[in-house]
Amino acid sequence: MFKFIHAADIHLDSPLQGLERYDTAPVEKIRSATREALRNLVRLAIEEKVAFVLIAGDVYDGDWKDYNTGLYFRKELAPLAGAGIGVYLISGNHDAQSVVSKQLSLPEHVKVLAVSEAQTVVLDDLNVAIHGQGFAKRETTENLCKGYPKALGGMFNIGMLHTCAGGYEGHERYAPCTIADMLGHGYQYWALGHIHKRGELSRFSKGDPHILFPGNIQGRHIREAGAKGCTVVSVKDGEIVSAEHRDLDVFRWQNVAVALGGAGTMDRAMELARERLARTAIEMEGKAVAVRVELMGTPRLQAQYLGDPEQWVNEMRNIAGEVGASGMWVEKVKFKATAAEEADEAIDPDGPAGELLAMLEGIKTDAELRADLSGELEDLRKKLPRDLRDQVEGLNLESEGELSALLEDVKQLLLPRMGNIEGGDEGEDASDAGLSAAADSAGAAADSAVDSAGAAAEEQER
Amino acid sequence: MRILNLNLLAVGPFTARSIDLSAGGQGLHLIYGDNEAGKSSALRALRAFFFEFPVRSNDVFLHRGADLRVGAELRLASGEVVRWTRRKGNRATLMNGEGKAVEAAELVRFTGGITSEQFDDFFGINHGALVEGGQSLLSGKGNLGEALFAAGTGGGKLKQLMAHLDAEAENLFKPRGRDQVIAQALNEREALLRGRDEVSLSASAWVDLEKEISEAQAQLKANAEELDASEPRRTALEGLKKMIPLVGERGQLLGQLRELGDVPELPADFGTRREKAWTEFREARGLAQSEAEQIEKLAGRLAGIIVRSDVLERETIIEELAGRSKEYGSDKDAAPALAAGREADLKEAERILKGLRPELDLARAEELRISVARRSAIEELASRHATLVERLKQATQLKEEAEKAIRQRQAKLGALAGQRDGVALERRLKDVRKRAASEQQVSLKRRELAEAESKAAGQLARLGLGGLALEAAEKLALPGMATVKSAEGRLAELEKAQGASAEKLAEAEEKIEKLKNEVEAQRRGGLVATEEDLLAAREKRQRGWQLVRGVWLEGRKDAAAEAAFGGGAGLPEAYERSVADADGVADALRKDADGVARLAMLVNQMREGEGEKVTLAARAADARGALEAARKEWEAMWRAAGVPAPAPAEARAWLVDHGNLVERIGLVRAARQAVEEGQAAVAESKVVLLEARRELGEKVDEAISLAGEMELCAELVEAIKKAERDRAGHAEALDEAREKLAREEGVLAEANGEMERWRGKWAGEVATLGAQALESPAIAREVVGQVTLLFEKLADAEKKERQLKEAQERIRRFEADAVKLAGVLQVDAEGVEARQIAARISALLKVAREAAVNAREVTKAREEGVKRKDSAGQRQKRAGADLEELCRIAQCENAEELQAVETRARQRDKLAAEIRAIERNLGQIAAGKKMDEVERQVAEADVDGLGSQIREIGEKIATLKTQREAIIHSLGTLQEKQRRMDGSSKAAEEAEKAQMLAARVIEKASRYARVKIAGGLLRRAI
Repeated sequence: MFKFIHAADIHLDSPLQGLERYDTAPVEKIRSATREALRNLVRLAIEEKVAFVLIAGDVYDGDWKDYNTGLYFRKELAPLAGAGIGVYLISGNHDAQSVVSKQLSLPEHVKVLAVSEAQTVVLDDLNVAIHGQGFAKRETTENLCKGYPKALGGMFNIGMLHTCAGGYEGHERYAPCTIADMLGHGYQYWALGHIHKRGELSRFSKGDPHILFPGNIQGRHIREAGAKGCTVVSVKDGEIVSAEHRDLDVFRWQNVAVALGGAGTMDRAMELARERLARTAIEMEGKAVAVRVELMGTPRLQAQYLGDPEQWVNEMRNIAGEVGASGMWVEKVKFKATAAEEADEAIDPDGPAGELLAMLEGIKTDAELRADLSGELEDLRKKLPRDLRDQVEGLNLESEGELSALLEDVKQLLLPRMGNIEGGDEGEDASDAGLSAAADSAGAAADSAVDSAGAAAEEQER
Repeated sequence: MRILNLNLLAVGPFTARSIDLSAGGQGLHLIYGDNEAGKSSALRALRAFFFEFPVRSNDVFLHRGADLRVGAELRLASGEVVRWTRRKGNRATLMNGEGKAVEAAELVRFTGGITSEQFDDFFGINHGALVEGGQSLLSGKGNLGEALFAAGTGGGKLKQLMAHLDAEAENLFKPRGRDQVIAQALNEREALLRGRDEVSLSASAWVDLEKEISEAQAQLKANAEELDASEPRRTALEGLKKMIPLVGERGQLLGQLRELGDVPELPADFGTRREKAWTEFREARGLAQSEAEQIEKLAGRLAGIIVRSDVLERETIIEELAGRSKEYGSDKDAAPALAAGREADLKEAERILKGLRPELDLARAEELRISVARRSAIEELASRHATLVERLKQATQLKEEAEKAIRQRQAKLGALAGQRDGVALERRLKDVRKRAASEQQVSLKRRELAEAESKAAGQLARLGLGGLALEAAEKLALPGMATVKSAEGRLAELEKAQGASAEKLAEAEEKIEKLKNEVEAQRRGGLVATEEDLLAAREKRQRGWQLVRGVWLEGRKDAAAEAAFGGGAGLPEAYERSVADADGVADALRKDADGVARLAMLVNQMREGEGEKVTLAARAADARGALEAARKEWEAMWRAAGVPAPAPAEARAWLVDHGNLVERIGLVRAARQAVEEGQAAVAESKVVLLEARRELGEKVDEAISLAGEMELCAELVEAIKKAERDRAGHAEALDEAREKLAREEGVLAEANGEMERWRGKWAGEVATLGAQALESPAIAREVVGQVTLLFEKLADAEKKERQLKEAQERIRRFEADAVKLAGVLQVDAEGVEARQIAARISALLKVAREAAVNAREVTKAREEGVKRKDSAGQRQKRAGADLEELCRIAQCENAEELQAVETRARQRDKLAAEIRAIERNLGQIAAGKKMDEVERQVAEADVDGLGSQIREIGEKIATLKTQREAIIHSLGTLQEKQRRMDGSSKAAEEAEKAQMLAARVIEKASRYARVKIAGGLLRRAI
């Protein structure tokens, strides 16, 4: 029996995104997070006494130019040589782009498989054959899997491949292949990389291989929420006994929905948020975390929030500082109004608020008005660097999704402060136990919804 | 919905205050009062009723927060009426009359779902809000659109909102600003990105460095190779230079060796062995002589020592006698005291015996001895005696207490009064209570009647029927609701028609006024003349022409007309002026044709308006007439019913109120009946109770109230019941006391029997102790103690007699043994005390022991001296044999020659060693070459050129070493540089910080977009 580790998408030295610094933020906890995760990987390999480690691409970030990153990678893998653990890696789309990977020489126990064609490495002592081909260039869109050799008879065959597999919506189709393509080679295990969320495409059974994306080893933004790490695979008599995920991340991302139910004021809302964040801190079991808080309450409460969002965000940060003993960073606070549509319907269409609503709707179809309003943002657009400009939500009024989100926020910014919040705020009066329970239940459902939404939003590195 | 009543139960300054808003069919209730009267508090209370008390209420000062209550009576258009109360709290704060929670949806049926803000805006407007609204309009600064829009939203704060949005946007970003949030974050990010680039390590830098290191390592290798080739050459030359003198020196030493000739080969340790053998031989010889002399001296000392063996043989006996000497002294001292003590004990025993039994002597004392079992029995009986005495005492006391209790109960029963039956009285009292008749209830009913009558009177007054009796008001022949409604509708239509015609007339007048003003303004605005002016000017010119023509053609002169025409000027001048005026007006009219047309139109419209006004005035008069007629009909209709006519708008409400009055009159009637029935019931009940109490022999007072009589009856019933309870209680207690007396008498008899039995046993046990022991257990215990003491004294006397005899025997034996041993050892004992004899014998033993020890030591020393003398002789013999062996090796005749041979051998060995050392040195320098080859190399060497050759090669090596050091230094620097490139995370950390700022920029820019678009949109909407 032997064990091996399958990891991928290390993206060494890639900075964590979306974390605005503030006084009580746990800055130290995010420093060198990807490096610490790599260190955990090496430590795990030695502790588990694995036979070898597979890294299925994207050790580096493509546009990262600091050669120190490569030197760190080389240095960090050194203890594995002392423990007799070999490392086999293939280059991913990022590595193909990286100037670091092109020049870096790696020690003998680290074997980089070829990029020109599929290469096979045989480990005689383990009776294992590792097949793999790295990316020669970033835009590798051909099906590399087809060029992989057939399984070597009587051996445990592993295929390493950096791929989008069957394709993930909204993601670049790098080295696409189907599960059928992989099944056809007769391997026992396919070690994939590229998709940052862990996913098993096939479980090992008679004749079928285990096909797995282990996910990246450290989440870097809110779309990569949840536990991150590698997979430890145990093999006995040529069959996979287990393939278990192991956490490697040092800093976690979490979507946290707070159902405000019966809260009538933002003060009460903050109390509910405190309870929810305290629960999240306990769930993290001592790990630092960045949370995106989505408050879900009545339009009236939303109006209170939007009146001075900075105040409430700061309040939320203070709460996070108090309840997150191991470090909790508030990445963003969002407010989602419940029963917002009913509130809109309650507005008199012939009144000023109704006119304003109509005007808001009209922007979507009135190109002239849209262009007119867009002009008011032109100065800011010019001022922002290109890499940031595309990330700001609401600058591009010609984007349908961006425009809808912007107009929804603008509506909530204006209407309640004009004295026209109507309907949809039953929660404020829902002070009896039944209604509270209903609100809590709705909140719990919302929690679940947000978590799955967050999970769904998680994406591969583009 | 209509609010009929607002109950300020506990809120703000109010406690149980009610505001009745039920009067009137429609219209406005005006509630007025001084400052601080509570008008705003009442408004807040109304708001709280509909929308809950706020968490932090301003109305918590007289009442605690939890006690705040406000109620209201509401009526829907359907006629449904509810009475609810609102309390301050978190849940279920709205309650119905039964205190049950009212669902929020129920309240919505009454409020129509209006929000608290809408309530504030539409109904809850206080003075402050009115002022604020006015200022909001003013702040619009003439922007009517904004003012209207603001008014429409009900907020009136749009200006503030826009200003707020603009301020927030400007705080975030300004096109050319540097201090705004976004600009600052961008600048900081730029600096961090520059910092990141500065600390980044480029791949090319790393590759270049590796190349440089590789080149330096190659240079170092070449340098080392050349150095490796030069160093041996220099070493060889320097070796040759060193060998030349060494070869010469070796030749000289070989010559000296040859001169020494043949010398026997001596072992290396020859000198040491020779020296050692000589030294041993001399030392052994001296020691043997010295030991022989010492042996002689010891033999003389031994002969002088005398040892007493006869004493030593009796060593044990002597020591045992000395040991007994101390005991002998003690016995001699103790014997007299023992004899005296024995005598004293016997005398004390004799005294005790006389006290107990004077007829006995000590020889018969044994008759008094008491066994242990008997002593124990006496002790137990003595203890039992105290218990029995106490038991007898208690039983007697309890018997006396029981007898006393019986006497007391008998006395109390005798003191109780005769029995009475209160059952009948109690039953009648119950009946009266069941009827619930009481003056208090009658009084309550009276108050209710008065209140109902008062309210009815108030309603009568409000209906304008103050002079009517209630019954008359109830029977009024009023017009029906349908009739009133129809008449009211007609009046309303006529009022509306009259109002409309009056309004139209006013509008027409206003229009005419406006036109007049416009005409005036037109004229004031520079229009020189109108068409009327032109006509007037022409008419004046024509009149002048007629006057001129009359004078000129007809010679007719009209002075008055000329004066009127000329105004003081002559006719010709006046006519010319009129011609000029007419021409001027005509010119002016031609120049301002548009103004003229406009003025003409206005004048025309004004004329038309005047005509329309006349028509409208006629219509208004007609409408007024019709309205007046209808009103007269209205008043006639009410007059017929005998009541003053109410305002048409209030008539139906008046009828409803009258209906309410009729209902209330019914209530008054019912209340009156209740009062009368109550009074009758009270009188009847009182008679029944008075009779019942009289039957029990009580005095009664006819003038007493029913409540008083009921109280007296209740007291009497209770008193009778209590007396019966007391009687039964005493009887029961008497029975119990008698039972107790019987029990206690039994206990006393039993205790007496027990005491008798004890006395019998006691007499048996203490009979032998004499008559006095029978007297009491205490005396018996004293007798037993004396007997015990007697036998203790006798035992002591016996013990002392035994000890005295033993001491006397030991004294006798010690003295006999001492004298006997002195005789054997020939010690003088005549007239000497036994202990002195023993001491003298012990001293003799000590001397004998010391002499024996001395003799043994001397003997031992002599034997050891003999052994040492023999050993020295052996050593001397072995050393002589060694010297003979050395002579054989050195080929000498005797030992005296040994040293000379040894000296020559040493010289030869030294020369050989020096030659070997030179040869070793030469061998090392010549790298192991043989001596003949070395001699040949030296012989062939260019001795004169050797120095310059060595110098040249040395300089070359120095140069190579300098170069080597430079290369090593350079390589070290490069490798150190490479070592510092250790995978630092500095650049990554800078990027991390830049990313935090990017997040800030993105967040703020997103907010800016929203605020900016919101502001822009609002501005456009206005």
